[in-house]
Amino acid sequence: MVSIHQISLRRLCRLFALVFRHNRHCSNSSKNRSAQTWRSVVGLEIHAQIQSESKLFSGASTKYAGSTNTQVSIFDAAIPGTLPVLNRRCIEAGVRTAGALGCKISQVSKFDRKHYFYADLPTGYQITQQRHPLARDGKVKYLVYNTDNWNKYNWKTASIIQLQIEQDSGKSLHDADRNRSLIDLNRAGVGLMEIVTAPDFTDGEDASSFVRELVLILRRLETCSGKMEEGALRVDANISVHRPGEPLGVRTEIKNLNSIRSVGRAIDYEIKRQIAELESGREIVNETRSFDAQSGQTIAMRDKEKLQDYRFMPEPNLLPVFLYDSKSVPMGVDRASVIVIDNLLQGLPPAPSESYERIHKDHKISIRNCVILVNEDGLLKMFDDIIEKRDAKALTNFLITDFLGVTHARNINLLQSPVPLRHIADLFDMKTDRCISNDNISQVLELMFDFPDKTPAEIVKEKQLDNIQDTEVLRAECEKTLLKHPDVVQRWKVSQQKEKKGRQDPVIKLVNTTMTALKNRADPLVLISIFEKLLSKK
Amino acid sequence: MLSLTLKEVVHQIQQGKICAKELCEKCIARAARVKELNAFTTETHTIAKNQASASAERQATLATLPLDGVPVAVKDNFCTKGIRTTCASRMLENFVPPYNATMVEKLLSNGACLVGKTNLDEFGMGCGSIDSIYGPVRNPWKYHFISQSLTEAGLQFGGKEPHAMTYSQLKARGIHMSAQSRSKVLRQTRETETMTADGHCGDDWYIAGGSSGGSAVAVASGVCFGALGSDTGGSVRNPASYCGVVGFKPTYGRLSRHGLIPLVNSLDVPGIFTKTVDDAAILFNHLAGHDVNDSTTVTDPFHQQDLSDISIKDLCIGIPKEYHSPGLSEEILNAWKWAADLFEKAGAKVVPVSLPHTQYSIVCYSVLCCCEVSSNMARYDGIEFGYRAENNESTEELNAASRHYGFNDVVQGRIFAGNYFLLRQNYEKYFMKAQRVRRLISEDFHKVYSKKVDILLTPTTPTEAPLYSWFSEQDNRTRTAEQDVYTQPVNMAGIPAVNVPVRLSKAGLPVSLQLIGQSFKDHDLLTVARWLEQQVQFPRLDLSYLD
Amino acid sequence: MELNAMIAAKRIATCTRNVRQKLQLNNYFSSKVPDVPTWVPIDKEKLPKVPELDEAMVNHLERLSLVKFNNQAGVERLYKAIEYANQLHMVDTEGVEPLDSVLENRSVYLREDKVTDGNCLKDILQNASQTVEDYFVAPPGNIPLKSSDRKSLK
Repeated sequence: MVSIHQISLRRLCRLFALVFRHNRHCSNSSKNRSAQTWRSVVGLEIHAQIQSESKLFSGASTKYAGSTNTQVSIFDAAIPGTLPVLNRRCIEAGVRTAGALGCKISQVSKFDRKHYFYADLPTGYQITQQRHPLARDGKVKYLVYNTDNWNKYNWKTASIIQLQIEQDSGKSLHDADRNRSLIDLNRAGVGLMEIVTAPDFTDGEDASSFVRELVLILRRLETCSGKMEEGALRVDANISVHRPGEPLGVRTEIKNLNSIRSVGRAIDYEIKRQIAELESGREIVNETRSFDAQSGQTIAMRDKEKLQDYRFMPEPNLLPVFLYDSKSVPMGVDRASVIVIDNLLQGLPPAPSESYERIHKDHKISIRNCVILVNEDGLLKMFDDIIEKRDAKALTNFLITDFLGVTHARNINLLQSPVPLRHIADLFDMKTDRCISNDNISQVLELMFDFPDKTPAEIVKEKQLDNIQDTEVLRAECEKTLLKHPDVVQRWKVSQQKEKKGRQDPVIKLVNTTMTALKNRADPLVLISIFEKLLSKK
Repeated sequence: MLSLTLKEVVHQIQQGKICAKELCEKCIARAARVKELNAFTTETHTIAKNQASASAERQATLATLPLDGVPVAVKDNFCTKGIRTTCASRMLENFVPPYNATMVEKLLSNGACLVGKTNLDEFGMGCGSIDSIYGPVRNPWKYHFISQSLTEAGLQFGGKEPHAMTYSQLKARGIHMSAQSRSKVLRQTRETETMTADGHCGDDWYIAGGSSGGSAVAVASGVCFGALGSDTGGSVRNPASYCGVVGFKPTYGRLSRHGLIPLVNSLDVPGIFTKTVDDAAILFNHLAGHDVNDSTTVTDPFHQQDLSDISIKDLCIGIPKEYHSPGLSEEILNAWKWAADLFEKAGAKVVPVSLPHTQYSIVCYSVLCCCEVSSNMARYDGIEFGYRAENNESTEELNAASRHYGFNDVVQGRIFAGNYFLLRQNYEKYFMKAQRVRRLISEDFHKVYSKKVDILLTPTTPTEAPLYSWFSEQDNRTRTAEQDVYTQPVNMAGIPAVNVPVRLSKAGLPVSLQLIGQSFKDHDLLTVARWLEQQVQFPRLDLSYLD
Repeated sequence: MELNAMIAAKRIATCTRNVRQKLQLNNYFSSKVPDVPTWVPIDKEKLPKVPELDEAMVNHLERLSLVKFNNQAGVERLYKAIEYANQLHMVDTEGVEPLDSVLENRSVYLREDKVTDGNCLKDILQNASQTVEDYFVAPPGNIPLKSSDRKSLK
């Protein structure tokens, strides 16, 4: 510890500022010193809509934003006498997801009814899996990172308690003016995977990093779109706080968090709220709360006195789901009519954490760039296909800055890019060989998108975008610039005299001007060396 | 014509000896004569006539369907597209399903004509068919029809049909009778002049049994040749026993429940009422098979089979001793003994067997039934369908008010009990316990069958049809506990069973017995039942004197 | 001696014929049906007691059922149902697995993932008492039922 007297006032101020900022970012923060001793425990229940054409127990469509009540079968509307019929695809999606999450898949899986009354639940019960879920006991390794500080990252592992298949509910729109709810059952009966984690998370950043990772996993598997903005993935968080050494505190549940940012903010707010309550001598009530994104606060949702008893009961209209591996399929059973898990677990895409680790280790790519490469659909594959013996860092930068820049500007998905991979690789090579300046790269790229049949070399030749190699031409242009900007030359002379290392600024200005004149058809490094030589003669 | 069997009718229609339209008209006329039995909740005479016309057209072109022109009735808990399906409850009084139950679809696509939807205990809860918003169903056996009385009393009404009216209804219409006629009518119908709430002047009659009483009566009274019911704890076999008709409950999983508004999903089976076992087999052949809309139907291939004669000597009939319970009447006991001896005399091996958990079956049923009921009834909230109260304070208040008005006491009582048994603290003690007992009951049967017993012979009901006055003295649960005692264990095991009327009691009421078979050996069971039927030559009810 | 034997044989034959005739008159050849009821009476003392159905329990059940008990008769009916169900405890179910379905050893039927239903707005809405622009209508939710006054049943 450095004593206060030894540090200058300025440094002291800086130190305080750092601590201040750190405390603000830190999730267990509070201005009270005692707050630092609280531990927070967070567990998640994630509801992920299964990417299937039809619903879990009926043949109605699952498309998003369909016209009101047009994607509803008589079963979904709970018309009396109708019965559930299980969609094979939903179980297969569950099995693949469970495999990717490292879970053990149950040999026998059953459905149950969970009873409660709500207007968007027409049958008065939800068909779910309480006793015999599809899979249990998984582990997911994930990267916890902070977009404000890319140096602060670490690897964690979360435990998955179980994965179960269940029905989604309909939607109710609250018409406050007329004091009523309007019910649309389009979503009722869509298949969900409920993924229940152990209470392994400590704060909002931790939990939201996990959710981010999970969304990536699901998208890679194509078992869920992960589009939280469409409600395809929702998160419920269970949060409690306690002092170290004491038992776990009473927990609250925050329901329906529908963005990664909300997950982080809601959890952090709730932790702070609970700490504040407990420190004021009050108790935490075991209740359900919702998150108001506008105010950033959690609000009590349900009646606190209402003890909810779901009265689980086996679903009598669905027989057990038997899951076999190829060796255990019984004799005489038609394989097409049962689920054989080997086939489903073959060829699972690698986990995002594996991808991060691989490119970070093998190619020494920074964590920030690893995250971008992995999170952008199709980008990692592009990288893997092009890399060969090329410079990984440079390629990453090229893809992220140049290539993605164009796709984002055009608002198209990378996977929809019409440009052949070969051409992108060629362009990158041209960049590496400094045949074409960075400024012209984007122009070439735009043209490559517009004319995907043409190679970059063709485009460059056609539009005359390649760097001028003839040093005489370059020198002549540089001298022209010098003549046009004597003030800059003067500035350079002044900076030289002061022996400051500010010589770059005037030179850069000269280079930029020359580049513009040359229509960016020059290598700035070459120009710099030319200018340095010319200026030194002045 | 109406005393023919379904098999005979099918044959004669195909031969052109009977016209489908004429047959339909006759059935409709009979329905009017026996209207006071209250077997129907909804009559679909126009539809039936149209279907009969279509059948007649097909007859002309020789492109006939297997059940062409056969009038049938369907219990009012099977969904019928465009035709109100009420389950005899206020909750569904105005419910018109947008689809046909698979069973209904199969009947219609085979050319049958739907005469009407039959009356039942509300939502299938009961064994008397008396708890219905449409009033109770009356057993046609020993029933004094008002029309018969009036004809005997020599009354004429200027062409108007008096058949469907009771004394009180005649009185209400201002129809004047002489004192002599009046007392004769009252005597013969055993009415008194005291009006009761349901307007039937305190008359007494025999109950039809339940919960599919209406369907049993429809067949027994000659209004149709086959009817569908549903059997959860005996709801087909019980009324079949009291009404003297064949009531067949196939193996669970053979017939589709898609469109059958459920009572207990794991026990319900659509059931068949007919006059003879052959008729039941014909309907069964056309109704059975896998349905993609019902995941509890088996995918095993189903082969239609005609019943053939059998060699009784190769059979082993089991007599389960526990089916002599307290409450078994002497009439039924004697009939049981008589039938056992019939088999033995014919050379079959008749052995006493034991199904030790029989006496707990009805208790087990009461728990499982209440639990499933509380679950199945959860959808009746008045929002998507069903009765909707005026209360708009909150969803909870609306639901409660709708359900309070929509459900009778029996249904409400079962919902409470079911929710009680399913509470977290009670689940293990009651629901799971009942499920374990159910397995023991089911295993009892399997153990017996594994010891070379082919078929079991038991009573169907403890007594012949009881009087309404006696039956209504006790509540629904008590009566179910008494009356369903022999039929209920069969549903626990999911095995097939059939009620065969064997003779008349001293009082002139039908006495029937039950044959219980093995899973998915429905045809074997029916074959034995047919043999028994041929031996006993039961005198079927003939109401042609009313026509 | 021979005559004695003949008389004896004749007597036996007559006796047997008489017995057979008597049996036939009673219509019973040889019956396997038990003559008397075989049920085991249940000792009510051995059954668990029905717990008190106090107001809290009644309110709780009302909210879970969304039906009101309405009167004392309803509570009594429940009491009797529980008392009746308690008879199950007389059965020894040690080591017995619960039975969900008689078809428990069969695998569930699986449907292919195709859109085959839906697009039947009219069918879906036709039985609803109230609809607004293709929506179902419900009052605001999540307000618990008002509990009625009642005394507990002992």
